[in-house]
Amino acid sequence: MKSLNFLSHNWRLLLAALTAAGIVHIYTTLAIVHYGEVAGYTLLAAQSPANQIKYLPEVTPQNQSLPFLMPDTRYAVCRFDASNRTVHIRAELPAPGWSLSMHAPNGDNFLFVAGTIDRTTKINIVVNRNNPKFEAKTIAELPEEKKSPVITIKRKHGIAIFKAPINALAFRRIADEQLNLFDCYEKRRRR
Amino acid sequence: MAMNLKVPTILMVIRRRIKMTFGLLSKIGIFLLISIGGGMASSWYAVEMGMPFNIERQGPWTRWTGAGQSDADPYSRTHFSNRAQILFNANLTIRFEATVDDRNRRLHSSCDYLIEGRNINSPWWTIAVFDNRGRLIPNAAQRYSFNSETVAYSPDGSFAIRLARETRPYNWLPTTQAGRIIVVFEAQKNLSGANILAQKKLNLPTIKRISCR
Repeated sequence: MKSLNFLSHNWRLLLAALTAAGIVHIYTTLAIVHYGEVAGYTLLAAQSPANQIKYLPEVTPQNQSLPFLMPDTRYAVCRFDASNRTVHIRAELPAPGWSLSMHAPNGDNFLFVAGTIDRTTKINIVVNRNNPKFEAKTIAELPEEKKSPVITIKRKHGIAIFKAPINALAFRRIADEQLNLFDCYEKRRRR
Repeated sequence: MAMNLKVPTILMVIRRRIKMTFGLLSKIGIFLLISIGGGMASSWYAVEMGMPFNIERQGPWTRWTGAGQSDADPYSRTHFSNRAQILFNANLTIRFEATVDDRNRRLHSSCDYLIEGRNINSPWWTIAVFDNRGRLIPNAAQRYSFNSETVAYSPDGSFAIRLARETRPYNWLPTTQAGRIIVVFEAQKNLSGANILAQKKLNLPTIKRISCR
């Protein structure tokens, strides 16, 4: 009863306090939000040379590069930097569980391709330094020798992560072989 | 006589002024408590626990729907940048975390749990257990996760994973003495054929507490 009495006498004060709380809430949230390079990206980028493949060690308690990395997956990482040269990224995803993803320094995962049951997905990504526009050609438009879709992405920096699931010990060799098909290189290199 | 009248009047004025000052100070105190305390606490809560518009809850499982996306809200961005985690786009992958069991009790390594699932409508999924800071829990058996290919199924197609300190038969994930634990469930969306148009809610496993020490 006393508090109800207080509320009825001081409703203007409470209204002002709630409005101020809303302003403080927005200010605090915007002050701590991080739009720059996120810690996860920084940690991975520090371990990987530019435009080369880095195979992360098997995820164990002793060898865990980042928190919450799933332990039944092998990871290969490429830190791509197309400031000077065009970078090519290639991968083959033979089955569900396999994936290729591309991440911007601010943590955005702007491309994700997952393996399917139906067929092996072949990916050929070009990070073009001269043509920073998004362009995805359909399979029908491509010549016969390039039946996998070619994607030109608009970002010049980032990390590509290739995930290979370890479904059983017997499949570990297959996972490693498939990981070796993941490629990341600058255009000047002869293939 | 006049002197006698004046003294109580002065005392009353002083008393009234002290009362007014206290009243004003208490109002300022209440204002600051609600505005600063309430504003900061609500911001912390929104970043740590999520808001109805940026998280999806299914039983004990929680999923941040804006994770890894370029148009993610500030709460999701802050939540994940604090964790040093690499995120996969929540529109294309499914990632749930559980910090509580089916009856909303905090998961802890001093208890045994049973994770039961059936007909998970995903081409590939994985379940792993981490400590409170996202680190794998060291154990002599070197068991950290099960996925749709490695888990042992019952004849009816269901599966049961035991989270326990001590050895358990079949699908056992050791929790040793990790303290508070987090169970992570990742699944690939079924993106082939007509499935992409008819995305159904995922059949998530249940988490039941069996016993505690």
